[in-house]
Amino acid sequence: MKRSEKRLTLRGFVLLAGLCLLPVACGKVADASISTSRAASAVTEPPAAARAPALSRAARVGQKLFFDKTLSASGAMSCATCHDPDHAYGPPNSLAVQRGGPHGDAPGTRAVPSLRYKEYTPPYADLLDNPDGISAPGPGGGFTWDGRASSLAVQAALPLLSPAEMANAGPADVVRAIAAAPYAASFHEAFPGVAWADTTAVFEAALRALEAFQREEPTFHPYTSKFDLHADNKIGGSFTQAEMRGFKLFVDARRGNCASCHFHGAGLGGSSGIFTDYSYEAIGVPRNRTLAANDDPQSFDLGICGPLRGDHAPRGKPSAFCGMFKTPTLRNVATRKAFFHNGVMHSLEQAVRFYATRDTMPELWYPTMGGRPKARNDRAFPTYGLVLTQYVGGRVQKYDDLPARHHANIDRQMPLDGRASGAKPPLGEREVQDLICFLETLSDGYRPPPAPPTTGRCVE
Amino acid sequence: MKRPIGKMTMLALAFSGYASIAMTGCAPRAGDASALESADGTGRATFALQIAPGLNINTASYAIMGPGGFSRMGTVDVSHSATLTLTVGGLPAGTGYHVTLSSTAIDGTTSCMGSATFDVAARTTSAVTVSLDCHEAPRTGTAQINGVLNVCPVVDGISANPSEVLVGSSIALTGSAHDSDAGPGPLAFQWQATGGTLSSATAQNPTFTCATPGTSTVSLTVSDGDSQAGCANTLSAQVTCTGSVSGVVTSALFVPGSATEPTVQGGYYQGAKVCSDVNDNGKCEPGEAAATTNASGQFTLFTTSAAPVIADIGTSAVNTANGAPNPTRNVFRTAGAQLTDQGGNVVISPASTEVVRQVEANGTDYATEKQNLAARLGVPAASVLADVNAVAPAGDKTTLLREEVVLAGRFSYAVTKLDRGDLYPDALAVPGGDPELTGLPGVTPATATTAETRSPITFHQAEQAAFVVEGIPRYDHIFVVMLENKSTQAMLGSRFAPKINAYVHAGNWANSYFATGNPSEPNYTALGGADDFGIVDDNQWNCDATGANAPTDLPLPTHDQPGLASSPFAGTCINNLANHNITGRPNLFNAITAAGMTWRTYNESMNPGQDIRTDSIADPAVTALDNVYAPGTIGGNTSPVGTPGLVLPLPAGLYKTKHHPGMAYQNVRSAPEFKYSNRTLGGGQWDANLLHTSKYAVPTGYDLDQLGTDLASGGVGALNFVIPDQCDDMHGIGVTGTVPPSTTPVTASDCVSIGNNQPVATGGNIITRGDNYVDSLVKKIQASSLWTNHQKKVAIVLMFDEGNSTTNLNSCCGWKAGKNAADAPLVPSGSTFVQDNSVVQYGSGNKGHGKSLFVVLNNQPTAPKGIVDDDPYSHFSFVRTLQDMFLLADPVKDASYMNRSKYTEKFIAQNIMNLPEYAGSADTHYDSVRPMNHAFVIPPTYVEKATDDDTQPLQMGPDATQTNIWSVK
Repeated sequence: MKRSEKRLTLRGFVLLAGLCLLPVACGKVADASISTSRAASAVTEPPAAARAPALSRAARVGQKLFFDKTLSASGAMSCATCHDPDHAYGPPNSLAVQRGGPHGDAPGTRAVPSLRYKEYTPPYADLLDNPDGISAPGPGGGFTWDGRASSLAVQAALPLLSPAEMANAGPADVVRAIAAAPYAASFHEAFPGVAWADTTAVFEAALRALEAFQREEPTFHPYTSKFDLHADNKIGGSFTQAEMRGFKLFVDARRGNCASCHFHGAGLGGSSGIFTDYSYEAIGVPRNRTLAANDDPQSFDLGICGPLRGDHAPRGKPSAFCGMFKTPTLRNVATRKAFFHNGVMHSLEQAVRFYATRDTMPELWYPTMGGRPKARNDRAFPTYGLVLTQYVGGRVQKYDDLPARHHANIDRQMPLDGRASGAKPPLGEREVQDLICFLETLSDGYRPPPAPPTTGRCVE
Repeated sequence: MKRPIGKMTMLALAFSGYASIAMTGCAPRAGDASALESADGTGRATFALQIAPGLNINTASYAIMGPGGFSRMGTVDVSHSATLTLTVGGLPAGTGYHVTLSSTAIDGTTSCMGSATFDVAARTTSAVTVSLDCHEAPRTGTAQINGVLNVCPVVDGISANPSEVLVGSSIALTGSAHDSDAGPGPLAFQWQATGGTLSSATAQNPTFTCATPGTSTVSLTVSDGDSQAGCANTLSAQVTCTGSVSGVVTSALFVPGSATEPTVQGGYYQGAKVCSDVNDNGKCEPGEAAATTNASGQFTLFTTSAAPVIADIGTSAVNTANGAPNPTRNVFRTAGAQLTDQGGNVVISPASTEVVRQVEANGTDYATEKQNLAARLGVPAASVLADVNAVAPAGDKTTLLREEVVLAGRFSYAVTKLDRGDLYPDALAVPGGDPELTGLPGVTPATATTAETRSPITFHQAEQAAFVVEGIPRYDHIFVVMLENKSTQAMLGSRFAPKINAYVHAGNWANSYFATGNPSEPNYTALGGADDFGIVDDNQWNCDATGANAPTDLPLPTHDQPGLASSPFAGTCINNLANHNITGRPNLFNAITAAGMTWRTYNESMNPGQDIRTDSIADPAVTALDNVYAPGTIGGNTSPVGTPGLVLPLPAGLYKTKHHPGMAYQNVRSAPEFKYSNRTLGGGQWDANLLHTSKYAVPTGYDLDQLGTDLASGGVGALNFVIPDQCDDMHGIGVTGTVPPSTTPVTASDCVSIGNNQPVATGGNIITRGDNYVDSLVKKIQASSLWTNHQKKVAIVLMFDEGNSTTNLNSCCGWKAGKNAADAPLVPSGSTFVQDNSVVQYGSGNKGHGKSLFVVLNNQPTAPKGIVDDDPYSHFSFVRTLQDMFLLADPVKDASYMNRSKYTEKFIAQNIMNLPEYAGSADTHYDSVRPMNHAFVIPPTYVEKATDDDTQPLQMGPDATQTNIWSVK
């Protein structure tokens, strides 16, 4: 039921986009919204959205491609299926990985990232200058969890051709679908020098169109969160005490230290508040045993050093790159239901608590081997972990998704400083809640309430 | 409250008949006497009353009591007569008569009474003296006037012949007077005169010589020897002295285009009106005596007014220096004392006007300010107000003309303000805040509370205001010392920077000063012209500069150019980012030059012979030893820091074009004076060996320390950016060398880059290096004759390009307060402003970078010190401040302020539809640009905004003082 509603919504969106193929009509619509906005109160009604420049021809084609299900082997999957505009261009569900392929039943191997706020991401480099201007250069940049795609255009080819996603056998399948699509003429207008017969050229043009759409379409980088109001001195941007405490924790290098990777400041290319420094870290995310790819106990997803990426394979030797995954943006993180590269966690609270107790209570996150499950958990045994059974004895398989020879790669920065099991957690209960409150300010589409709330979880 | 009693002394009572008159003096005792006559057993008395002019008495009464109950009373009406004769007869002979006389003045409040006793013998005459006491009414107390009679003298007239002469000529005065009773002494004449001199003050008929134009008053006082005050009589008369003022009105003309110092020419104004500005309103108007200058600028003004003489130079007047009409009305003034000083040939000039202005500003006098102006400019006092066209030597003439170009611009601006009816003071200089904002839609009401109480500016206000635009005083020279990459939290209180911290507190401090971008290049570009134009990196200035933005200062300084084989400059640079060659945009450099002033950049550690447009390069032939710090000299070290014997070859990039505030601007690099104005800065670690370079041909006479040379010669600019190298500015670069004979690389002690937010506790060696460099630089400037010439206003600014905050209110005051990619700069279009969408990726820029130190030191001994201004300011505020300081813009014309420096609170509110980045502001004061004048008063409940890198406690309410950090007195 829900799905069909979704379809309707999407069809409506495409229909509207189709109307906008008529530039005159589009222009009139745009003009009307400008004048409406001008008539409104100058200060309280940001005219920004109304004034966004019109999409280029390539971007308008990219928009069609993005929502076109005929570009998949199943005919049921478009880019937007996983990168849902209603979910910050991320997955619309809580599945750790999405299903695709010719029959829509092939499981993916990694969680679907949001496509928002990608416009400043540089190509991958082993020694990328850190956007904070201070930290030492290190692995950073690129698209996908391992950075193997150097641009949005290059990235766009991956799902189109992945057997577990849109599952085209090759570019020719994609080109054929485009040539048959209602927007084929528009495509040709946008790329007049590209002949249909030149499959490679058409495919690459399609990828460029998808990149152009993602770069130009404002909804890919709306900056309409409460945090943006706060950072930009806008009405409605006053943080509550809890949010402010969370923000301070977030940036405090001695405590939350989140900003050291989820960099909130002015970064590359004049960006600001992207909430990632594009860097890679190995933090020992627990193995997701629900993934089909993990049925083989000897199979590991090691991020930069493979297997999806080939150029940093360890070749039998320890490699500093193994286990490293890209730091995602935290914008809209509170709207997600699958966290980390393998989607092993399913709530923001769980993800934050992982940082708070990975070291002090690893038994909540990693399996215990050789122990004996308690008949009944101690009353104090937390229920938010991945492991819900309390054990007596045994050994916790910490970093169970990273072979021991790569454990030296594990990041040792706060709050994951490797302190002993049973030690005092780096973040207390209230700090966890404050951090969550702050992270919730990163969700786009925030509408300030008419009056500041006086009660609620994130007020005091 | 005693009433004047002079008129009472004019009452004279005289008796005729048999009575004698006794005179014992004049007031306070007014005297009268009666004489009584007896005949046939009876006597007679005759009264004669004389009333002097001016006293009004209606009646006089008498009462005589005699022996045996004798009584005789009567009243005499004297209202229609000035004299009274009264005979009283039939008095029986006898003794013990008593006579009482009384009268009341018409005012009803003053009455006089006296009595005496006498005997009457038949057919005989007795002499009796009656004393008369006068009493004033209670409201004025009681005055008792006793005396005896004197008739005071009277001036009958003064004649002056002729009654009007030229200044310097004489008038014959004739005095006439009489004294009715010719005593007690002979008549004495005493003359007084204003506006001239008397041949004799005591002669009856002296001559008067006119000294100053206008109406002179001559007064004659006669006295008859009666020493009582008021008995003497005075009469005044007026004569007219006509002034004749001759002289010239001189001009100064700036001729643009010089590749070195500004070209100036002297001349005169032809067709200027010279007049007595009787109403002192800065205009020659009908009714005010006026003359018009001839083709040689000469005039002769005849005036009967002593009012200030001004030259009203209208737009029909011609500047003979170029034969062109004067573009805007101007007014030059002269001090009254200058007319005397210069005798028959007065020079009315910008300099003479400046002397008058300074006299009025300082409450001093002509001689003082003439001397001060001469001292400021370093020319003899005899030259400073002379006809500049005749001043020798030529150097003095040029010095004067360059200053007069600037002064004439200021005075012209004053007249423009006057004629326009500007309100005074400027809106953004009104104490409390801009009164135009109060009630204005679209501004935050909490910070817009100042009532509009201004009124149209007066001539005198306008002249002073033209030198304090928006509250920012004119400075002769400002040195902006650019330091790198340290936020306030890294510097304030750092034990690695004790000297800079001392300057923070010894000087004046803008405590909420924000960078506008990150990294360096956008900040320096913003300092050059109040916008970074979307530049968000340190890329070379030709990057992504294509089409209309393609560089025109060709050839580019690439390695294939003659002499530039070692140039690191890349001829092409495409990154698909913002255009890095800012074309056709206003900037401080072009504006300073266009106003006839000069700018300099002083750059440390360039390769001798390099092109200023390229980064400096490594040079193994140039070496220096590592800096070694003794214990106690670097952050409290207990053992030496540094490596003795460490030989450091010159590293690349000590000089970087990204740190030149004008480099990004095409019109700066193309300016004729560009090469001449970029100079060297001494004090570098490698200076001693720089001339041993193996990379470029060293120019003849290469001066490693042009700042030192210029400080000695006065050849610094009005605006000077002082740019230390990337070690001395605290930026930090990799500097390594070896300790021979070892070949092991060793890192230099004090050039390792550290964070912008380096904790003060741990600090960093490079901070001490920068601290020491800044201190030596400040001391060097302060030791110069430029600084010690207190007639010159000189300031040093110590500032940083960046702070540390990268988000969350990380800037203010013209920052890009939002992330809308559709933002575009607003440019003037007719009388309005439109978005200029030609700037690619404009929306990425101007996002700010948090707080850093901004300290002002000035050379004025009496200027306020230790001021802390917590109102937020940014690089854009500073650029606006510099535009005010050097009169490069006009506060009532938003379009005259360059780029984002025009984004005042009022401007943003009025243009909000074209400035979406400011929509929805929670605090429009914070978002908008204002000059750094401390006029805004922070409301009592306003809490300072917490920025990302704020480590100081948040201030609530206003600052301790509202003193301007630029104040010069």
